[in-house]
Order: sequence, then structure tokens, then C-alpha cells
Amino acid sequence: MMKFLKKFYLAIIFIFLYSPIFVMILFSFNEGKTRAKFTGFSFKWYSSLFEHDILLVSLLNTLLVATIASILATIIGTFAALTISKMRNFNRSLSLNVINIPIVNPEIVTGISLMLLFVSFALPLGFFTLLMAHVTFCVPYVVLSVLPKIKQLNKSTYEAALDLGASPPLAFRKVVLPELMPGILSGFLLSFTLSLDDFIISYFTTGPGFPTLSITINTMTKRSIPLTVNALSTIIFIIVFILLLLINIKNKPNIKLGKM
Amino acid sequence: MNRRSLPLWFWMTFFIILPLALIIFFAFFEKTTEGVVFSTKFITTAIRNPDYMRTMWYSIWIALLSTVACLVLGYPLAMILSTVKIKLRNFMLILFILPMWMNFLIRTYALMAILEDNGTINSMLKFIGLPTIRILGTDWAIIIGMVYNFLPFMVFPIYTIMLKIDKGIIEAAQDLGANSLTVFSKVILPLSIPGIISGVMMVFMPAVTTFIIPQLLNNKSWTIGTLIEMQFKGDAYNPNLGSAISLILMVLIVIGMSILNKFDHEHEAGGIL
Repeated sequence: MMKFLKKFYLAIIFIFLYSPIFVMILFSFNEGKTRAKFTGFSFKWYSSLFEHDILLVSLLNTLLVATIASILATIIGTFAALTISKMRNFNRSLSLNVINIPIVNPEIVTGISLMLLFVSFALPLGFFTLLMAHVTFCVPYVVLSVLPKIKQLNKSTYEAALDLGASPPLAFRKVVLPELMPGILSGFLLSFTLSLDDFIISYFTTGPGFPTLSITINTMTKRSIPLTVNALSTIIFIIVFILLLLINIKNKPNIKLGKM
Repeated sequence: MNRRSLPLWFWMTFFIILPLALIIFFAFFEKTTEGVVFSTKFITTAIRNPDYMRTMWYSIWIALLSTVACLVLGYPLAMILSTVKIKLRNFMLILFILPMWMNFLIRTYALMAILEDNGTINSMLKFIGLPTIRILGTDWAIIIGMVYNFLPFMVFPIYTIMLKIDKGIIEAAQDLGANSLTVFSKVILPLSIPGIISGVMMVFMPAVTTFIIPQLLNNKSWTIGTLIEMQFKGDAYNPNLGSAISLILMVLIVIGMSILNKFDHEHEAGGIL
């Protein structure tokens, strides 16, 4: 009985999560123009997607910003974590608290505060301001993923490398960095996802010349949304699904090992 | 101060402290023809205006309802997920995360198509001969939208903490004669409170400040987010007033967080996340 209830509950939740996506995918194949009525099967929205350049341009913009911002945030965040790990007492807790602000603050406050910053310095809102904003809200997440790894570091291995004649940079590269790599990678992935998904901060920090996907879709919702959005979303859904499956398959042996 | 930590201090000052200082500055200083002058009129407008106050309470109320809905739906889900066999569990976690990896706007847009007056739900109701219902454009639509977008933020912290609960403790309680209800109320629930607290924070915070979910699902109702957004991007351009409202919002959130944190420390079992 209990088992049945559990399965039933899971089924309800997954229906709730997936029915909008399913409907969206269904209507991407609609022959008609609206998402109210399915009139026939066709691929026309997929072909018009590749002519309808604003969506594709926005998608490319989003990917471009997410890639550069997450790389920069990973570099800055890793150095920030290394710097913080060397601090003591007051300085350490102060900088940790400051670094945490963008995580704790509501996104809209981060968004407008950065907008005020850029406007005060008379920077035109566009690619660079958007990039800086994304780096700013991603860095704290990198710091939070790298810091625990620094704590776990065994100091003796670094000293051993120095004793064996390695220069400090070489010892850092060959001994410390590999140990930190899992934290750095998860910080990078987290930044990339956050940047891809962001709407609110981008909304305040980019200009009309550089729309991201979220912003273009938001503009479109003010009029009637073309079904090309459904087609694009379906493609994104399938890519993400395949990526997640691949990651899961690759990780499976590790999970098993961890369980033993 | 170490010379090596200078770039970090510089970065934090320029990108984190200075922007916040600008909000405070704009909330209290106004550019007039006689130069920049101090003024409390924006703060008083934000506090005294009954419409703004109503909007604030409305946002808090809707966010609370959404958070409770997420907790009620998410807690059993986290519990079930933590008991499923590992192979199946990984697949379920993927299914559960997958919608989150799609764009936030796409998710809400997909939901819109379901809830519309001539959307999927109403088509189905019509098909089986029931009267149609109006969802899009009501508060229900906002709450459904919040739950749809923020449910994972509630489930993951609780799920993580459920995994950490020592099965031995549960077995000990059962050995000592507790039935499953007592085991839940005396063992599982108290141990999962840190997860609940971080889940509540992670859902409530975005729920109280979002402006895009209400805008898409019920554009007649305004939230604090809408109010702030309008002062910066809308027709009512007034960054001073917008900053004042943001400042009040920040103060409220700091107060709320410190209350929750105090509550969390009493349980001293785990930190946020």
C-alpha cells in the first residue's frame, strides 16, 4: 500500500513537472500558428527557426556570455579562494561575508545595484556590462566550491615538492592545482548554468543591442509568441537531456565505488 | 593587509560594496538644479504610500503561500527520493533536475500554455464535459508558477539532509517500539529541520522578489519586484524611489535571515545548503 502511494505521488509530481514541457514539444510540431489548437504535424517552425535569426542570435549571445563569464569567474574565484584561505580572523570573516553578499541578496537588488554602477560610470549597457555582471554573481559560487577543497589540502605534499626541488609555481601547478580541480570544475559548471539561466540580472545590465535568450523571449511574451520558441526550446531540452544522461553514465562506476 | 590580497579587496570593493553603496546613495540623495542634496522623501514615500505597502504585504503573502506549497509538496518528495534504490534514484534526480536546466523564461512560458483560458487544462476539462476554469490571471497561477520554478530549491536541501540521517537511529527507534508515525515525528522530522530551513530560505527569497513570474502569469497583480523594476525600466522612471524600495527590501531580508539563522543555530545540526 505504502509503496503504491509513493509511486503514485512520484507520478503526480513528474506529471506536474513534465506536462508543460510535453505540451511545448507537441506544439513545436504544430502546423497552425497558435499554441491553442493543434491542427496538423509539420516541421515548419524548425526550418523557420533558422531563418528567424533573432532567437538564434540571442542563443549564441547567451552561450558566448555564459562561456566567457564562467571562465573568468572560475579564474577570479579560484584566486579569491586562495587569497581568503591565507587570511586570518577579522580579514577572513570580513571578506567571506562580502563575497557572500551576491548570493544572499535578491537577484533584483544585485541587478539594479550593478546597473547603477555602470550608469554612474557612463558605461553603455551591452555585452561588456552584461559580462561583468555575470562574472560578479558567479564568482561567489566558485569561491564557495573551491574553499572546502583548499581546507582539505595536505600541506606536506606541497612542502615535499619544494624539498624535492620544485619551484613554488611548479609545485603549485603539479601538486596543489590537481587537488583543487574537482572544486574548480564544479564552480565552473555552476557558474555556467547560473549564467545560462539568468534573466533578472541580465535584464538590468544589458542593452537593446545585446539581447540574451531570456530577454528575447521576455520581449516576445508581450506580443504573441511565435512557435519558433517552442522549436528552439525542444532542441535545448533534447540537448540537455542527452548531456545529463551522458554525465550520469560516465559517473556511474564512481557512484558504485563510493557506495562500497 | 597583505599586498597579495589587494586585488581581491579591490575587486570586492568595486563590484560588490560600491554598487550597494550606490543604492543607499540614490535612496537618500537627489540630483536637483542646486546640485546633489540629501533628502529622505524617497524613503518616506516608499513607506507611507499605502499602495506600495499593500504591494509589499501582497508579495510577502504570495511568497509565503508558495513556500508553504513547496514545503508540503517537496518534503514527501525528498523523503521518497532518499529511500529509492540508488540506480533508480539517479535517473529520477536527472528527471527532476532536467526542467531546471532549461531556461527560466522557457519554463514559465511552457507553463503559461498549460494554464491559459484555452490552454491544455481547459481543453481537457471541455473534452470530458466539465466547465472550464480560469487560472491564468489569478493568484493561483502565480503560486503554481512559483512552485513549478522553485520546487527543486526546497527538495534538494531536504533530500541531502535525509540522506545523511543515520539509518541506525531510525532502527533504534523502531526497536524501542516506536510506530512509523512516532519515528517520523520524533526522529526524522527534527533531524531534517536544518534542511527545511535552508529550503524555506532558498524558495522564499526568490519568490518574494521575482517580477517575471507575476508579470507572465497574472499581470494585474504587482509585487515588490514589479515596483522596483518599474522605477528603473518602466514608464515610472525614478531610480531614487527604486533604490529606496530596494533598500527597505534589503533591510527586511537581513532581519528575516537573522531570525531564521537564530532558529537554525538552536538546532546546530548543519549549515545552509
